Amino acid sequence: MKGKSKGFNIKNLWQYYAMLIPGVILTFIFSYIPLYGVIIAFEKYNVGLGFNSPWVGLDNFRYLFSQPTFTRTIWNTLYISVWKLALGIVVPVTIAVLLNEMRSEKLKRFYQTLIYIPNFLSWIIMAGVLMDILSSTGAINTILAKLGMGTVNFLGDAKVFPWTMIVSDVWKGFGYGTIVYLAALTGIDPSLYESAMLDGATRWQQIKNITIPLLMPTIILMTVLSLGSVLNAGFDQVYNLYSPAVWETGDIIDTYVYRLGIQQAQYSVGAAVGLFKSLVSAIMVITSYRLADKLAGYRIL
Amino acid sequence: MQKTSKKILTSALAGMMLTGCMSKPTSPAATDSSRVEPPADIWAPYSEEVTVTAFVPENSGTEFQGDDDYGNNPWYRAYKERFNINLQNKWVSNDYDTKLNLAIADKDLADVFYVDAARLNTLHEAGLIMNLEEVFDSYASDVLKGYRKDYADTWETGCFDGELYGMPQMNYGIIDQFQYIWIRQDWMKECGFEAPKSMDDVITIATTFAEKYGGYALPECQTLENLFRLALSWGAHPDIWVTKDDGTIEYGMIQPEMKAALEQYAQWYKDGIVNPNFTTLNWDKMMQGMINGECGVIPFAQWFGYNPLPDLIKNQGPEAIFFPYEIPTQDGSDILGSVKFNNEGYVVIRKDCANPEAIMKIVNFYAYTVNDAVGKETNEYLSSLHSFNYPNCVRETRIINPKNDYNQFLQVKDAFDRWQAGEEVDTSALGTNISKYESCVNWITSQDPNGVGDFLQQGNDRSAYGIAKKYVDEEQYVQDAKWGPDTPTLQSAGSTLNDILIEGFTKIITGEKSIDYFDELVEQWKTAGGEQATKEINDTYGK
Repeated sequence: MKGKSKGFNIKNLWQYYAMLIPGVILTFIFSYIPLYGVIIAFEKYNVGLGFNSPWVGLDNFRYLFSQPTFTRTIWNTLYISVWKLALGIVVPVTIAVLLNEMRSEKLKRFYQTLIYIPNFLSWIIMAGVLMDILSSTGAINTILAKLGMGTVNFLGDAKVFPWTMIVSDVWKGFGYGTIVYLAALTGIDPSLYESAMLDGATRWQQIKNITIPLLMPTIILMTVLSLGSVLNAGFDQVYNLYSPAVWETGDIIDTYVYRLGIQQAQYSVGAAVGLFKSLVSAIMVITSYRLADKLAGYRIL
Repeated sequence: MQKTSKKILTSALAGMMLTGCMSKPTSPAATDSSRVEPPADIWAPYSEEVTVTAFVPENSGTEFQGDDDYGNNPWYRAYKERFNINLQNKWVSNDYDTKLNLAIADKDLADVFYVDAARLNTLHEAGLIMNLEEVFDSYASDVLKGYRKDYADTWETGCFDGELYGMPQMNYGIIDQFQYIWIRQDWMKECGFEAPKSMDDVITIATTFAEKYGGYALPECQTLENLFRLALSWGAHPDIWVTKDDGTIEYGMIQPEMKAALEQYAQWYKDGIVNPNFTTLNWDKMMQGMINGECGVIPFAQWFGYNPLPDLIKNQGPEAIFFPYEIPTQDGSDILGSVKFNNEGYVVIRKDCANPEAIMKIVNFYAYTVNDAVGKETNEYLSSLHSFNYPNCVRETRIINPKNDYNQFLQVKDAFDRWQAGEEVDTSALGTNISKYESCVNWITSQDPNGVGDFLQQGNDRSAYGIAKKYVDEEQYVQDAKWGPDTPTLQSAGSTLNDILIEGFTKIITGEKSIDYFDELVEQWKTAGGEQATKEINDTYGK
């Protein structure tokens, strides 16, 4: 122990390292060895030939980016998923703070449960429900028409469609985020509020100066974690609700590749897109982690 | 102590890595049964039992009569009894494409299975399937050799450098490819309409129905299927490649005739004739509307009587039956249907198969039962092979006679007419077609909704095949200039190319873009790969 406590102390800690080994091996087998499959993206893949298929270099990428309708899917994906990400933080934080201020524990629990329920429904089911609610004769349009606001083609109008996706996704998922932030809120030392109250701080001042700053690490953690999936704008949601009429603004990378790759058995192109997405995600994660470290002093290690 | 533990860990680690890396599938060649000398007569049995294996593309949970299943049924018993062949299923699955891809990747193939055109290429490239020339030459029956001669263009698509690798399973005939306008009969009678003679008549009927019975005049869904069917009225052939006057081949969907059809369709949408919600409806949702009785007119294929009509009748009553009518043309001339190259798949044999002629015997047997067996075999025997779920047992080994549906229609219609006239009908002459005839009779006697499909396809005086027979006899159709499988660009990008057009057409119909956008769209289509596809098609299929 003496003087060596900072080094690679295998003598005293070998049991712990031994316990790590199965995990490391599994990660190696299931996450690193399959990386070899990335070469499919550079081949004209033939199932019968396997990895010995003819090498085509960057042809699959060139083909993908030469498609006039592919580049717009990148923008659509970023637009939908960045808004989902932003609102996916603002809405749950707001709701969590509001719920935290509620006096009645019973009502608080009730609302918490109520907003958490949609999170458990699959998009297949939700899509069917949304199609009925949002159709031109559905509940929402009936109400809008009665209020004299005309009807909105939520799923068929290319200008409205991305927002239908964003709002419905945030609505479906904000219950989960709320619970995470509520948990973080309970960790705040009540004595801070007490002393603030003694100093005559209003509710709003307490939220601004105590709650939000102390929630910041959690918010940053959640953001960094979700930035990695910024190119996943929600395949199962969009695929079940979109139509050719809204491809202009609603076709995302995953749905495009599904139509191109899976339906036509284009494994190589599918692999090329997967690689492209991983690359962008890796860059996003590294950048956001650096930013989090710089702006908020947040580090994992 | 530490050293030993380190050693143990290292060896454990090495061992795990080895199992992880090296558990690649071993070659299944060891399971090959040895070769058995075949008899000289192609119909004679082997002297000792021969085992061959197959992949079956069906739902393994299907219920059969008695103790039968996909591994034990009248067909498989016939192979055993007649040829001493034991056909074993390696697996039965309706997730066929995925299972087959895995089997190809594992090189764990059955002796016989069927594939699509793309996988035929894949397997040939990878050298996993057998050159069939020799075995076909020596062991194919005269019926099969006749097919190869009569439908040479189709059989060539199974060849590489002129050598046969996949036997095309062909199709039930072009008679099943035509389009009709289906009109609801009780409403038609109530309003006193005659059969439509022009597209204006069709619209009058459709709008009158919508005013009187609610709903909308013309159904449609996201994929614009009904537009493409009605476009035939303008002489457009959106589903096929057409030969222009100068001999070059172009895609039907980008022709001026299609533009004309689209312009009218956009006007109909504006006038509220086409379902205003169509952009968000998929096919199932559109059909749900039909089943709920929202609409009395729909352009559709010959199988409307099978889906959704039985459900519609259960919901709306038997008098809600729809009849098929010819699509009227703009100038009153005869309608020309589009006829596509159609092939169910290719029967292939694994390269290392020890007894390929056993598979030829099995393939011969199916062709025999549909072509020559009436009169030679008992009626009970034939219907035991071709009724209930048994026809699915030969999905991977059957080669269909393209005259099948046409001849079937003649027989069934004739027998059904005689039955309706009160004559005695000798059903034994119907052979394999007996079940079609019986369901037509069931529709009349008990209005069994499951019989209405056969009744409207073949039995009724106004039946889909009754109309199509004239199209076939008088060659009233345009044949796809791409008479074979897709070229490479179409295989890889075909549906993406169509997506561009469907998206653009939707914008034109909903009024977001004017009809002039059509020309811009054609340019987009060309740059995205359409130009390349057109070139390939002209090189491959042009004269």
